[in-house]
Amino acid sequence: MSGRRGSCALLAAVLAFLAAFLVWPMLDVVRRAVTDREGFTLLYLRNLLTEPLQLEALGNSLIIALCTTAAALAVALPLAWAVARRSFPGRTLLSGLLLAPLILPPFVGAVGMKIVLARSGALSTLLMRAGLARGPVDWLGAYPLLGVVLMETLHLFPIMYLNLVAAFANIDPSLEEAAVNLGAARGRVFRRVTLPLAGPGLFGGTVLVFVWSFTELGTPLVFGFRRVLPVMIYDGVSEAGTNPAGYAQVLFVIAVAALGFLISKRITGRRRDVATLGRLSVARREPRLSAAGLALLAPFATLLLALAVLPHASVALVAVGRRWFLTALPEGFTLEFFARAVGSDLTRTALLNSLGLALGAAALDAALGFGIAWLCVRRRIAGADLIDTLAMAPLAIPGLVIAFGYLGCFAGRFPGTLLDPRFNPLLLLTISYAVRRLPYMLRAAHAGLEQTSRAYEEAAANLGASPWRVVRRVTFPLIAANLLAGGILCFAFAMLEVSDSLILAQTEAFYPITKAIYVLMEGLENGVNVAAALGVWAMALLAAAMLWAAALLGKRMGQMFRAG
Amino acid sequence: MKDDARAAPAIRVESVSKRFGDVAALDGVSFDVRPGELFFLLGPSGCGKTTMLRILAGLETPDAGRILLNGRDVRDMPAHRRGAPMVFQNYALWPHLSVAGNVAFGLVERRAPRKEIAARVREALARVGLSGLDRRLPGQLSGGQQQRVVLARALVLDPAVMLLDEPLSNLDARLRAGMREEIERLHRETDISFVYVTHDQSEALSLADRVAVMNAGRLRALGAPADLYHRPPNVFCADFLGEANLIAARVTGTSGRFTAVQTPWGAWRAVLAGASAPSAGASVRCLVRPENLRPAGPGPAANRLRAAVRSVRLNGPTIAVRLDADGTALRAALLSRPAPLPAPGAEGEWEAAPDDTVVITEE
Repeated sequence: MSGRRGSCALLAAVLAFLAAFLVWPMLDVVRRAVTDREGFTLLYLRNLLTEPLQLEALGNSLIIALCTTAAALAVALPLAWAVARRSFPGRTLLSGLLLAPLILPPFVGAVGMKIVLARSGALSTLLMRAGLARGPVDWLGAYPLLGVVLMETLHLFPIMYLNLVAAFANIDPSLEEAAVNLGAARGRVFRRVTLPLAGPGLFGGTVLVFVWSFTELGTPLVFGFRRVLPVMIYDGVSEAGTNPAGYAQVLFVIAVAALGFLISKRITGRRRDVATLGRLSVARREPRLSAAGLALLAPFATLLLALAVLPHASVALVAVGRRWFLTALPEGFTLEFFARAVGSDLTRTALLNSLGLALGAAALDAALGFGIAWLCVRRRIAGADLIDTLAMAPLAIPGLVIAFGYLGCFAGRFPGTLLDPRFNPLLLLTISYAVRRLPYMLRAAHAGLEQTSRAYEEAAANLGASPWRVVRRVTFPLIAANLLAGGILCFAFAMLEVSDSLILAQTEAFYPITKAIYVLMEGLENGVNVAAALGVWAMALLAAAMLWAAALLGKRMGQMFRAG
Repeated sequence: MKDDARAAPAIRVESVSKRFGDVAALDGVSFDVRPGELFFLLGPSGCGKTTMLRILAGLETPDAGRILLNGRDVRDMPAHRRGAPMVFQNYALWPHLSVAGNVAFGLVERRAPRKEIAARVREALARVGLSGLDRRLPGQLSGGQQQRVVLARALVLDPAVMLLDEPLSNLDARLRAGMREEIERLHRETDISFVYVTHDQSEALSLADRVAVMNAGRLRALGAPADLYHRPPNVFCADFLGEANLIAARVTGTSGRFTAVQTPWGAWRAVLAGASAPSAGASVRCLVRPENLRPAGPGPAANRLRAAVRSVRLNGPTIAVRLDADGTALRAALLSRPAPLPAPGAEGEWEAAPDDTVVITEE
C-alpha cells in the first residue's frame, strides 16, 4: 500500500522525538544518579536512605502521599458509589461540581490558604473570637504536613472519584444480582463482588493520586515546608550540574512512580477482560438512594464542596482584600491588585509567555497525539505499540523529573543554544509541557479514532482519495472535536504547570505565570496579593477552558483522567 | 454488449487466496466478470465473499493470485486508483459532509471543475430520486434515502465497475423490494459491471446475470441463476440455493437421455447436473425441489414414492407439506387452491418428473 512509506516516516519522527525528550533525559538521570567523578557508585542512593535530612524528607513525602491517598479514597468512595449506583435529586449537578477542584492547582490555592492559616490569619482570628483558642496559632507552622495533605486531598479526590465512578459503572449488574440470588446480603455483595470487580479502577485511581501527591512540588513550596523530597530536588537545581545527590533523589521518585504504575497495569490488564463486560447483559436502572442515605450524603457532599472551594475563595479574597490581618475577612476591598497583576512588566511578560508556551504545547500535542493514535489505531504497524506505551508513560513521570532530566541532559551539552534552559528555556518548556500532557491528547485522539468507523476512510480511498487526502478530508474533520478538546486540556494544564516552570525558567524574561506567582509571593509590598490576583486570572482562564472542553467531549470528559 | 461472453472481461480473478491467521478466507478463487454484467457473489456469512470484494477494491491484499481490472494487473495499484467505487454495507456516509458533499467526494479527488461537479452531482441525485435533498446531512435521511446517496456517490464517477456489499441488508423488508428494483433499473440504464455480494439467495436468483456461489473460501459453482437452481453441481449449492429433497441413490446405467438410478422406492430416471456421467454402481444423491414433488396423477410413468403426510401449512401462494417416506423426511410445495388441504396422516403415492430429478455426484 502506498501509505506505507509515509507511516514509517511518521513513526520514525515520533520515535525520535520521544527518544530525545523522554527516554534520553530519563536514562541520563539514572546514569548520573549512580556515577560521580570516580565512576559507578551507589553512594548517593545509599545517602538518600541514611542521611537524616534526606531520610526525613523522604519520610515526609511518603506520609503526605499515603495520607492524601487514603483521605482521597475515603472521600471519593462513598460519593462515587452513590453517583454510579443510586439515583437521587441533584445527581448530575453533584457529579459536575465534584470536578471543580481540578480547576485549581493546589499551588495557587495554597497562596490563599497560607494567609487563612497563618498566625494572624482568618482561622486563628475566628477561633479566638469564638473562644476556642486562647492565642493566635500558626497552623502551618504547627502542622505543616496536615496543611499539605489537606490541600492535595481537596485537589486530587476528583481524580480518585472519576476512576471509581467508571469502575462501578462498568460492572455488569447481573454479576451482583447473581450474588444476591446465591444468598449474599447487600453489604456482603458490596464486599465480595462489587469492590473486587471495581479493583482495577480503584487501584488505578489510587496510584495516580499517590504518585501525584508524592511528587507535588508547588504546595509544600508555597507553604514553606521544605523537608519533602520534591522541594529538596528543587533546591538542588542550582547545583544540578555537579552534585549527583539530586539525581539520586529523582531516580528514587521515578522508581516509586514506575513501581506503582507497573502494579496498577498488571492488575488492570489481568482483570479487565473478565470483570467488566463491553455490553451490559442487563439494562441498568439505579435504585433510589434511601432517605437515610440521602441524609448522610447531602451534608457530606456540601461540606466537602465548601472545603474544596475554600482555597479558591481565599485566593480570590487575597486578590481583592486590602489588609487581611487578624480579621475574619479583609478590612477593605480593592481592584488594585488585579490591575497590577496585568500591569507590571513581570506579570505581563509572564502572562504572554504562558499563553505562547501553552498554545505551542497544545499544538505540538495535537500533532503528536493525532499522529501516534493514527499509527496505532489505523495503521497498526510494528513499533506503534512501543510509541503508544512511551507516550503514555508521562502519566507516571512527574513533571519534576522531566524538568530535572532536561536540565541535566541538555544544559551542559548544548550551552548557549535553544536547548539550554539557562540561555532560553522557551523551547524546552514547550516540549516539557507537551510531553507531560501528551497522554491526555493521545486518549482524546484514540477515543475519536476508535469511535469513528474505519469504513468512512475506506469509502474515501475507494472513491479515489490518496492516504494523505483521506486523512485531510475525512479522518481529521471527523475527530477534530476530540483533538480540540484534548488541545484545550493540554493548554489549560500547561498554563498552570508548576514544577517544570519553576525549574526550567531561570530568568525573569522567560517566567511563565506559575513562576511569576511564586516569585511575587516571595517578594515584598503586597506581592502575595498580586500573586493571588494573577492566580485568579489563571483560574478563570482554566475554568473557561475546562468548560469548553467538557462541552466538546460531553460525557467522555471523565475518561481523560482515568488511569487504565 | 451485455451478454457478449467473448468480450475481454471487466474483472479477472485468478486463483486468489487470502488467510487471516489460521482461517483461509479465500482459497484459490478464480472467475471472470463480463463487461456490463450484474455479477453476484453469493454464500453464507464467513464464506469469503466480502473479503473477495474488498480485495477487488484494494482494501485488502491477496496472499496469492492475480486480479486484472480491464486487463490490467492491479497488484501495485492502491485502493484510491482502482476506480471501482463500492456501496458499503453500513453505507459509510461521512457525517461531516452534506448529501451533495458526499456525492461530490470522488469528483473532487479527480479535480473535476467545480461547475462540472455541481452538474454531475445534481444529475446523480436525480437518477436515484433524491433531487432537492443535496443540503441535508446524512443523519437527517431515512435508511432508504441513505442507501440512495451511497449509490449516487458511486454512480456519479461513471465507473466501469461498481462493487456492492450486501446493499439491502440494512433495509426493512418493504424497502428492500423497492430498492432491489431500483438497483436493477440503475444497472439496466448503465454499462457498469456490478459485483454484488449477498447471502440472500433470492436476491441473487432474481437479479443476477450470473452467480458465483462460495463456501468456506472456495468457489463452489458459477453460472446463470436458473441453471444453478435447477441443475446445481453439488449438494452445497442444491441446499443453499433453495429447499432441497436429497435422496440417496445408486447409479445403475443409462436409460435414453436419462441416468438410471436405484432409490429406496425403486428404479428412477434422472438428469445429470454436471458434464461427466458417473459410472454404474456409484453412490449419488437425487435432488427433487419441493415444488416438483406432487401427488401422483394418472399421467405417464414418473419417479414415484409412497409417503405419509406429516404436516400441512398454508404459506399463502403455496402449501408446504412435510412427508415421511419410510423414515426419510421430504418436503413438497403445492400451489394454493381453494380445495381441501391434504390431511395429516394420509398415505399416498407422490411423484416427480425425471426431468425434475437431478443426479448430484459432489458433496
